[in-house]
Parts: sequence; C-alpha cells; structure tokens
Amino acid sequence: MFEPEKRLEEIRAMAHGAPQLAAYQSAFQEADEAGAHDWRFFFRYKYLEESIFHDDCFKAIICFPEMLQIFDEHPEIQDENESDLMTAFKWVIENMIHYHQISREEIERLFAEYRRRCEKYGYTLRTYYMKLSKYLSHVDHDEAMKAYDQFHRARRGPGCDCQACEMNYDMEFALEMGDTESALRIAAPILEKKMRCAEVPHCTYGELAHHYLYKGELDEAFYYGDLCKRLIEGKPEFLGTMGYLLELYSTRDSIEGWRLMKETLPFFFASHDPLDRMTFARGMWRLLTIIASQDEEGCTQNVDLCRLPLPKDERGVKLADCAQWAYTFAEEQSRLLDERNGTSYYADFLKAELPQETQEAVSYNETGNSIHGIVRRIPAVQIICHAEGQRPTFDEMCARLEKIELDGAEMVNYGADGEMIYATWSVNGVYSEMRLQGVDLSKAPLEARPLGTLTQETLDEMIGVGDQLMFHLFLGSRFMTDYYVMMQMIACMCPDLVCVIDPVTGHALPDTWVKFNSRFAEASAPDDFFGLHFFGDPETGRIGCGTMGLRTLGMREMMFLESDEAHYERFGDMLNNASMQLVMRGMMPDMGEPFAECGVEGEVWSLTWMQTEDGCRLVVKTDDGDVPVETFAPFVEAEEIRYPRPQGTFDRDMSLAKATFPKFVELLAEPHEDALVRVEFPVEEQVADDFDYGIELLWCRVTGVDGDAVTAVTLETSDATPSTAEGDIVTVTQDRAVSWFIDYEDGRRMNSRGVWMLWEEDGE
Amino acid sequence: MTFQQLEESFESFERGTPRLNAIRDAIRQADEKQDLKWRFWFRYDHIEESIFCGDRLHALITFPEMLQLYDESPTLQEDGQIAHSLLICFRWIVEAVTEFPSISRAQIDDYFRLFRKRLLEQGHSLNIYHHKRALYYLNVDKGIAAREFARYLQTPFDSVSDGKAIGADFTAAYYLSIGEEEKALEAARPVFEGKLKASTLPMATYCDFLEYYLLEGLWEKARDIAERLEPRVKGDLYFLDSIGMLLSLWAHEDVPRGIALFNAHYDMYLASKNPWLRVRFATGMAHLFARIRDDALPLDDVRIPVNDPEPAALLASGDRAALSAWATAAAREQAAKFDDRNGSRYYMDLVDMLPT
Repeated sequence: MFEPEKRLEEIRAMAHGAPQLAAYQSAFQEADEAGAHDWRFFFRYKYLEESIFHDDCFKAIICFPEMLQIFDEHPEIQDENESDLMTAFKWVIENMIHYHQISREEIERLFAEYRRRCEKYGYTLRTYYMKLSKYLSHVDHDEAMKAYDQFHRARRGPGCDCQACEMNYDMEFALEMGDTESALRIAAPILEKKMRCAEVPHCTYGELAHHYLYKGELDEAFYYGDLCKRLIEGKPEFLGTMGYLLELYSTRDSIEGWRLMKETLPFFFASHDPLDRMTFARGMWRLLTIIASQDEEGCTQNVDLCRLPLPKDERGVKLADCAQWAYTFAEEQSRLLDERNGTSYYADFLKAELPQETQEAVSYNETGNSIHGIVRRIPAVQIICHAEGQRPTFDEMCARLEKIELDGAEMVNYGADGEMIYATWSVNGVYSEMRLQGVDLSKAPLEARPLGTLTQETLDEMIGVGDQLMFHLFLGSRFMTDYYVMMQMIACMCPDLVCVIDPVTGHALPDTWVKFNSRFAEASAPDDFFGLHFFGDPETGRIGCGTMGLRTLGMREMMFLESDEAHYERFGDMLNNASMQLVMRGMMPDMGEPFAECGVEGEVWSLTWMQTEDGCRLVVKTDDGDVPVETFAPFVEAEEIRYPRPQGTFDRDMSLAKATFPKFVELLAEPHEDALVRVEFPVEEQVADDFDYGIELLWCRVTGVDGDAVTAVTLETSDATPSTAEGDIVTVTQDRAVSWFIDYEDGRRMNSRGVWMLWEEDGE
Repeated sequence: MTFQQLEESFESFERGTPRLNAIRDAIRQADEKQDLKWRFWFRYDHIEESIFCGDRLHALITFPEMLQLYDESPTLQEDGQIAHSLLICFRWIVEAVTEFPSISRAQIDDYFRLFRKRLLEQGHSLNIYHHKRALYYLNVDKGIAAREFARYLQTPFDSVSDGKAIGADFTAAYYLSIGEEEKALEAARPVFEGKLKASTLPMATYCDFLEYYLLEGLWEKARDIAERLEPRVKGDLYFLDSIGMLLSLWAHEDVPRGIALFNAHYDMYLASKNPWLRVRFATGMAHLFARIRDDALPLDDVRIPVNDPEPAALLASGDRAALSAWATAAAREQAAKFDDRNGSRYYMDLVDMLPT
C-alpha cells in the first residue's frame, strides 16, 4: 500500500547521499504507480534536492524534465508546488553547465524557459541574469558583462540566492575579469567573517587560492588555501575546489597534497560531474607528477589509485602512470567542455606552468620551513601486547573481523596478506586504512609508562615476550571517531590482550582501557592523543616541557622552555590545556594565530606558537608582541589560571557521564567517603528567553540509591532556578545527570572518565 | 487623554467583549482624527485581543480593514515595525480563518497565498507559512500536511516564525497525526518538562495527546494526561476545545466528573461565537449524554440554563434518549459544516468515535 507520509518520515531518518537518493527514487516510482501526482512531483523534488546538495547533481539534471512535465500536466498541483519548481529550476541551470553532454543550444533553451517562468510567476529576473552571466563568463566575456549588469539592475526577490552567495559571485566575476583589487574589496565582509552561508566562505577562499596560484603568488595562495581546506575536507560537494587545493599543494607541500588526494579520491570516483572531475584530475596530475619525479619507479598500493585502469604488480601501480592517466582524463574533459563552449578556457589551465619550490620527498619527517601550520603526519601506532603464547593468529583475527559491526563507521574491505592484516573503513564516505602486523619488541627498544591499573611489572613482562602486534593507521581529521573505530577493531580482533602501548606518547594502558574506549565513542579525551614530557638542565635548574603525539594529528609539537622548579607544573598544565583546545578545535594554526585561551584574574589571554631554533614554543599574545609563557609575569605571579572548556569537550563529557551512570549507581554500593552528581534543572521562562538556554546545572550530594536512580540534596542555588533551594532533595535519573564523581577514603577519585579502570569484560 | 494613554487604559477592561468594545471605540477615535499610525495600532490591538481571548471572530472583521489601510499607505509600509506587525497579524489570521466553516476552503487557500506573497515581499522565510498550512491540513489532507511539514523543517526560522515551544507542540501534533507516538513524545518532552513554555502550552499539547489516546482507546494514558490538563484549562474560554475533549474522556471514565465539567462550561459554550471551539465542546457533550442514555444514569446533577429552552425542556422531562439525540444532532450539524468545507470526515469521525 502506498503510504507516502510514512515513507517521508522513514527517508528523513536516513543518511544523506546514496541512502536518501535511493529511497526517494523508490518513493516517486511508487507514487507514479499510484497516480498520486502531488507526491510524484514532491518526491522528485526531494530527490533532486538531495542530488544537488549531497551528490554530484547528475541525477538532478536527469530528473528535472520529468518534474517539469508533471507540473505542467497537472494544474491542480501547481499552486502548492510553484516555489519548489522554481527553486529546482534555479539549481538545474546553475549546475547543468558543468556537463559537456548538454549542448549550448539546450543550455540556452533552458535559460529561456527559466526566464519565461520567472516572468509568468512574477519572479525577479535577478537570478536568471546572475546564472546566465556565470555561464557566459567562460564563453563570451562581452555578453557576460551585459548579463552581469542586468543582474545588478534587477530587484531582489523570491528565488534569489542569498546575499553571501551573491557577494561571492561578485568577487568571482571580478577575478574572472582580472580585477583583483575590486574582488578583494567586494569580498571584504566575507573575509572579515561578517557574511557566510553553507558554501561561503568555502568557495571564496578556494577561488582566491586558485587565483593567486595562477598568478604565481604562492604565499597568498597558501593563506587562502589553508583556510579553504579546513572547511571543505571530507565534503563531496566541494570536489572541484579540492582540485584547486591539490594544484596548490603540488607547488610546495606535496605530502599534504597526497593526504588530501587520498581522502578525496572516493568522491572523485563516485561523481558524475565532468567539470568537478576535470578540475580534480588536473590537480591530481600536477601533484602526482611532482611526487613521481621524486622517485621514478615509485609505486602505491592505495586502494583507490589501484582502481585506475593501469598495469599493476605486487607493488601496486606506478605513480608516474597515475599522473599520466590524470592528465589524459583532464585533457579530454577540458577539450569536451571547451568544444561545447567554443573557447579554450579549460585547456589554457592545463598549459599553464605553476611555480615550484624545493620540497622534501613524500616521507614522514617533520619540517619547520613553512610559516603556515602544515606539518607531516606520522602514523598513530598501538603495540598490542599478549601474554606468551596468547597472541591470536592472523586467520583468527580475520575471522573476528568478519563479525564486527562498527559503530560510527562502515567496513569497506579487509583481508590478510601473509603476516599482515589490512582493513579499510568509511566514515561518511571518507576512507581510512589500517595495517596490523607482527613486531619483535626485542629488536626495537621501547620505553613506556604504565597508566591506570597496569603495573610496571606486567608491562615489563609484555615487552619481554617480544613477539607482539602493531596496529598502524593515519588518524584523519576526525580524530575522536578514528580513535573509537581503532579501539573497536582492536577489541574485536584481540579480546585477550593484556595492554596497548603508544610508542609516540609513551603511554601504556591496560585491556580495560581498550574495552571501555571500544564501548563509548565519548570515552577518549583530547589529551589521549598526545603526551607531555619534561626535561631539565640540572646545572641551571631550569625545566622545560614538550608535547609528544600532536604530529600524528598533523599538528606541531609544542613546548615551553626554562621554567623554574616552582612553576614548571603550572606551565605543564598550561601546555596540556592549550594542546587540548587545539585538538578539540581541530586547528592547524598559522604561527601567531591564536588557538587557545586562558584566564587570569578576570582577564583573558590568547595563546599561540612561535618558531625558534629549539622548536615551536608556546607564547602568549600581548600588545607588545608574543611573549614566551614561562616568562610572562601575569602567568608566573597568578594565584590561579583558568581555562575554557570547549563546548565539544563539555558535550562529550556529558554524554559519557550519562552513559556510565548505571556504573556510578553500582559503585555507590561500595564504601566511599563522598559522592557528588551534577544535575540538570529547568530554568524559569524569562531566563530561558534572555539567555537562550533552558537548563541550569547544579551540584548535588548523593544520599542514597533508588533503583536505577539516586537520591541527592542540592549543594548550590542559582538565580535561574529560584524555586530550587540549597538542601532540596532530588531524584536523579540517568537522563538528568551531566557529571559525577566518587571520592574514596584512600584519596582516590572515580568519575566517568576514569571508570574504565573498573570496566568488566562484559561491559557493565 | 493621548492615544498612548488610551492604549494603556485597555488593561483596565475585562478581557473579551468589554476590552474589545473599548478598543473598537479607540479605533473610531483614531479614524476620526485621521491618525494613520494609531488607526493601525488600535486595529492591531483589536485583532490581538480577539485572537487571544478566544473568539477570533472580531479579528476576521478587523483584519481586512487593517490590510486595506496598510496597502493604501506608503507611510505605514515604510515603517519596519508596522510591516512586521502586519505579518504577525497575518500569522494569527491564517489560523483563525480555519475555525469558521463559513469561510470556504478556496478562501482559506487565498489567505495562505496572500500570506506567502507578503512574506516573500518583505524578504521573510516561508517557515511560518508552511507551519500554518501544515497545521490546517493535518485533519484535512494528510498528503499536503506531510509535504508542508517537510518544507517547514527545511526552511529557516526567523522573526515571524512561532517560537521553539510552539514549534515543538506543532511537531508533536504532526507526529501524532501519522501515528508516531514515540516521536511525538520526544518532540513534546521539553514542553512537558517545562523547558519550553508559551502562554497556550503545555495545555494545547496535552489536548493533542488526549485526543490521540482517546482515538486509540488508551484510557490509562488518557486519564494521566487529563489530570494534568484539566486544572490548567478550567474556566478559560480559549480552551473550550480542551474542555470538550475532557468531556469525551469522562463520558467513558467518570460520568459524574464529566457532568460537573459540563455544568461549569455550558454557559461559555452558549456565549462563544467561535464555531471550532463550539464543535469541539458539542462533540464532548454528545458523548457524555450518549453515555448517560446508554447506562440509564441519573440526570439529577445536570444543569442547563432555562435561556436555552430546547435542551432545558428535555432535561426537565427526564428523557435521556431525547436529550442525547439533541446533543448528538447539535454536534453532527456543526461537524458536518466543517467536514463539508474541508472535504474530509475528521469532525464527524470524532463525533462517532467514542465507544461507550
């Protein structure tokens, strides 16, 4: 039976992209069979919308003529659907020019039809002229100028792009006409972050990076390119813009370009958009040419590059062959687009030579040359330790992988290749790869510090076994998700493990850590990705501290130097908090760009880094310049330094507290000195309206357990909740708890983040 | 007295007819003085009072005057606050017109069309348009309601949109209309927990759930909701529809309680000029008297004022069957008007719904 309302609800719950597209297609086919014209149109509209914003627009272009026909043949549905029709029409004329298969005649016919409909339904012609000038800017500059002029003469009204998009287009048009100065002036509100939308400033930065690249101004190009990269990574709708970035990184930082290319290749293969694919392929060509020049016989086993129709052997495909393939592809697509347009616009880009700077070969060594924040990533490694004779075989581990159901990711493929297991998984279309192989610890000296319940004795014993496993992957831009997936895989493949060792940070953690982190996505905190090491000079008595492990995230290792003994812990704490803020914000900051804050006596200070002979030092930004933190008087003299808690950390901690609440209730049955829980209380209406938040958080002391809940008394009050007094008795259920801890007589404290130490094998 | 002082004096009048009359008098004064802005603002006050005191009828009369005044005056159109307030009135009106079956479905669609045009002209989001359209079509055409709800979710909120609380209530109502109780409860949770508030909530949300539970025969859940709803709506003309829903419940669960509620609100029903509030009350009344008839329950505690002669005479005669027939006929006559206008059976199905 055709139940469109229920179908709509089901589809809304699905992931964007392929799942929703398939479901909407099925839905409109059902509507066709049922003869329900309103739903035939509506489901096609939703399908088209999904194709535009979460795919490559190809399906939208195919679907649109059907939509138009249904609309025209059924006047009874026109009133309700006129806005949707005109919106879809706008998207189609904007994207159809990407497809060389659509002739100039057809493009012009559709533009004319769109104009006719605008006039018929009373829509302004502003959008018509805007999209027309964009098309003509690669075909006929004079006609493009005329259309552009008409665009600005027409009034704004229904169907127009948002003001951010219009401003971005004005900038693009100025760049196209060769007027950089006007372009920057026009884009000023965007660059000053006063104007944005779903695609702006992403496209803005991309266009500026591209423009400066082809002008040969690399520093400017990289400035905008870095800003663009942070916004578009992992998003298939920006495939073309990513092509610009590959061209950019080929000039100075091919290692980063290689990483971006690998991350984006799945979108390239999935896309049907000729223009975006051509632009990406052009970037691939330039990048791979540089990389191949560093090693003529260089090969790759990258899963996606191995899909190209090229000769392969046991080493994979040759990088030089991949570069040639990309050039041939880009050249052909450029030719087809130019033939359709009657110009040589795209071919000219292929002929242009870009500046090249001396680069290191693609390897994993850090460089300090660039003033921008890009560093070489090193892989995240976990040494998985088993007791003597307990290590599972590769076949056993593969068999376990067959049954795994990853939370937050989808397994793409896995297998064993001799004494190695490899696996690839996808998170929202972005692939990650891991390798697991044997490692002989007796041949590789390893120092590690046991944490939690792991004893030095056990750790020494595991290192003494020698023959252990090494799990190896590059953490993507979503570190927390990748870490969670890694823990799930290790827990699945190695249920009898004793401990894991991170050779980069020097942390060694017991099996309960792995099990807990494989159970809860929120279990890991930012400072699980890096460690701190202190070093000192006994002659001067000065102590310094540096991070270890930020390189796995593509960030710079930072340090402070020369603190005295009285304050080194304070600055160690500062380095830790600043690094946590850096990780949570996912930033790769330029030198001098603030990335963390702290508060001293009511004043907020920004922290950044500077490059010195010794490395990257943590500094504070002042009106007199950047000052090393350990010599900044307000920090040295402060009684207390406070750090903000990024919202992401707060949300994760809250989720973890709720998830581990049943364990908290269970632990309360054991003797303890004190137990507190932080509870949500709804606020008064006026407060909610004034401050735009609806709940207050108050600490309460636990007085007892009541089934799945605890009883507690409030320890504090708030103006936002005047009806709640200190000493009120409250019942706290799992959904109301946001934080909890238990203090024991021996001085230990247990909270949601530490409860992994008590985690049992069955997870409860 | 200045017009500003005159406006402030409205507070001293009792809500409803007395205040409406005072504002109407102020309109007349402003018209005589040809004070353009106060001619607008007093009409705005009149519409607002009519909407929120429960009758909505006067709003439908005043609104076209206000619209004409605005359209003929560039001065008013250039005033951003006035232009915005016009849209707020429009937001109320597109909901109010649906409560009068004398306004045809084509006329309702015309109002919506005009509202959409005005929103777009002033550069506003269509979020509120899709919201109100979905609300009307919830019980008229589920397909249109579903599509408009989807558009509501996609379009951005702005200053003309209803607030988060009303949005949550609407979302819950939509999910109930398609039988998704869990999703409705999830949407309504911040309203029930008091985290989101509005002047008509959580009462309207409780009423939606009550109707759903009655239709599904989930009596225990219905009682639980009713216990929370009844104290909040008793004696308030604005919530006469909720009173009617409660009558339907008590007809099944607790007839004496239903009779007490009926007695306390029948005068309000007689005085109301709002057909939608009346049909909801009449439906509950029909259920109550049907139960009294079926179980031959005593009429001793029922009170009908003598100035309503027909039912008063039937009550005095003690003829349960005749009284029930009268109540059912009244409900069905009113329900038929709505259903004929809407082209659906929603109201008649409500009258016929309740098993006894």
